[in-house]
Amino acid sequence: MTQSERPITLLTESLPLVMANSRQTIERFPFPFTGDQFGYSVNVRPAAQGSPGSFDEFLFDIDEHYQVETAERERILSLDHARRYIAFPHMIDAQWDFLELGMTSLAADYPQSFELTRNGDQWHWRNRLLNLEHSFTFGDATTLPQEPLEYLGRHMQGDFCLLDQRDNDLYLGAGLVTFPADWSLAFNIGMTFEHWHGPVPLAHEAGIFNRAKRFIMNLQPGEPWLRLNWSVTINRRLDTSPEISHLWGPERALVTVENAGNIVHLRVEVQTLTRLSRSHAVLFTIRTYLISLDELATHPEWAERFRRVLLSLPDEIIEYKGLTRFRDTVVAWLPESSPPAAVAAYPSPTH
Amino acid sequence: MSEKQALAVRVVDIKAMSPHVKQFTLVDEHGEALPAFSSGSHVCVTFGDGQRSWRNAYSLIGDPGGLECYQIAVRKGDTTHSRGGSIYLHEAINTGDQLQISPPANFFPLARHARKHILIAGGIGITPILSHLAYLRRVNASYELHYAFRDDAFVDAFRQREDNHIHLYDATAGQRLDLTQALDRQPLGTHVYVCGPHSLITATRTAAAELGWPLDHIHSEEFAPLPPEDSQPFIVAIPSYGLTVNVAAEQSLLSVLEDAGVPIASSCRAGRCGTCRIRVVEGVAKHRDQFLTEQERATGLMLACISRACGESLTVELLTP
Repeated sequence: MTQSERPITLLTESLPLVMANSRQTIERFPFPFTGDQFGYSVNVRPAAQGSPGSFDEFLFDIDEHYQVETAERERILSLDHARRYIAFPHMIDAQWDFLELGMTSLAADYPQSFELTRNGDQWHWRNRLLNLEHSFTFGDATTLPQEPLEYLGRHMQGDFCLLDQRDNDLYLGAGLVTFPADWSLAFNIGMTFEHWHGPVPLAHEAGIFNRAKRFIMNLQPGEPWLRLNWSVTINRRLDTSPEISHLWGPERALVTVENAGNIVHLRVEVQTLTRLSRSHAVLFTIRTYLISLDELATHPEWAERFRRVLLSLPDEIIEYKGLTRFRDTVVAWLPESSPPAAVAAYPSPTH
Repeated sequence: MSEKQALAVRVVDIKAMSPHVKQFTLVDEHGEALPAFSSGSHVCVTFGDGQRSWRNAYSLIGDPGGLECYQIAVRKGDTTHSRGGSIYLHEAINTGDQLQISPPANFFPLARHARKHILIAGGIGITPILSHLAYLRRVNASYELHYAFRDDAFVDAFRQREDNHIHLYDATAGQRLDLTQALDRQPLGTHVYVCGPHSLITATRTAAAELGWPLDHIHSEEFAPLPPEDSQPFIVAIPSYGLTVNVAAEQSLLSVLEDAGVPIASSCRAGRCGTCRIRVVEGVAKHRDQFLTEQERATGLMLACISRACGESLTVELLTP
């Protein structure tokens, strides 16, 4: 892993992150659009099947922003722990499932950075990137400094939710969520899958969430799935939670044709769904990638496709995704070019 | 479930639990740990004698905490659905033989937030209940087991261990399980798990409904779903394969398609997972599954493992995977 970003100290919580993408990171960006038109679909495909170096080579992606993102999570948790980490007691088996899956995956996929030694239920975890190590007893939460979900989540990029499957439904039973795209863990905890997605326009009527729910409820261990979701974020903010909307909300009014390339970011969530073996719970991960319009425009076909998708959006979606104030400005900024010949290889219809 | 992820296992122990039930202990062919599973899981065991092949679902009966081995229990000639597979397992499989199994899947999990768990088993339906019981004991959860049986395959183990949460009903001694009594006066937040013949599941739901239970607290797995007694034979045409097959009264469409070499995926084989769905293009399906919605049925979908024809024939097509 390269550490190209400058380590920074955040003086106030309103300061956006400084974490420009290197060329290499831009090349592996999970560009989500394969068509010019907006349209909903469940659009899932098997996870961790990507080519070497791609964002989905492994189930848990570690990239050059690792240090900044883990530090940002620590900062957010120190300010607002009670609303960013919540777990019901009956999810403890699922938490250990997550810890086992996460540690074994990271140690296998990034052996230079992570090391796991297991001797029966005596486990030793070493994280060379954060220079941390810990010995603990698997299954005994008193031997870890935090509960398993929070402990390992702090060693990873992205947000993590555990869904409990019962009564023929899925319930949000636990989460470590510091980088949400305008949704609140504290508000949604305990909700069913469809209630959790209540605010999404048009999709309920299309039966999307019912189909997605039944798909998730039939997931089996060892077959993780992936989907992409997108929105737009002003400035390089990972934390766009409702809890601090007073900090990021007003920034939507700052967009001009002059600054859009620098401050407007396409925000892509790589979401994965994994059936956990011991608990029968489902792990839902949300790994967020930000790319500025300037960076995006280094691939003219991406910029053109994004422009066309923005033009095709129904009003409800513009409102829901929070684009109302600046959609036209972004469209004006994006360079118009001839129809894209071929756009990178995300194989199924998306958005 | 695709074949690529099948696990190669070796039979290391076979124990006759009764004249009709054998318990098989399976370990990974290469001595690796087997995948973790949750209580209530099953595996599909694939085996054959060179001429015929079988693919039967069996519950994992051990404690889900241990990954050194899996254990399954096979009742001989249990169902005509197994098309002789259980007889073959009983008579032809020996210690040291290799079998292919699917990774564990679970369509009968515990409700983990329940305050108390009531396990109800009839006959060989005890098998998924055994792993629930092992888990609940390990985590010190509140539980009761009500087990009605004729064949006493697993009863000795219960009799040897003092546990006043276990209630045994030996039908050969005239003992009967009174479901209303078992379900009455249970604390709020109790969940019920019932596995056994269709009649036991129906009776449990009926008793629970009469007592005012919330029915989403009643979880069931129909063990080795037999075609109902009124099942009729039917004919199925699959034009894309140029095939027409006869499904006898005691056969499932899924097993007949598998025998005919039609590539059809399956997992639970009991109408719960939706894996083996196909589309009816002519004729009327008699649905017996717990998976498809009315809207899906209206579009012609049916599950080959458990559903049948209303009339004498159906024309179906496979779905592209």
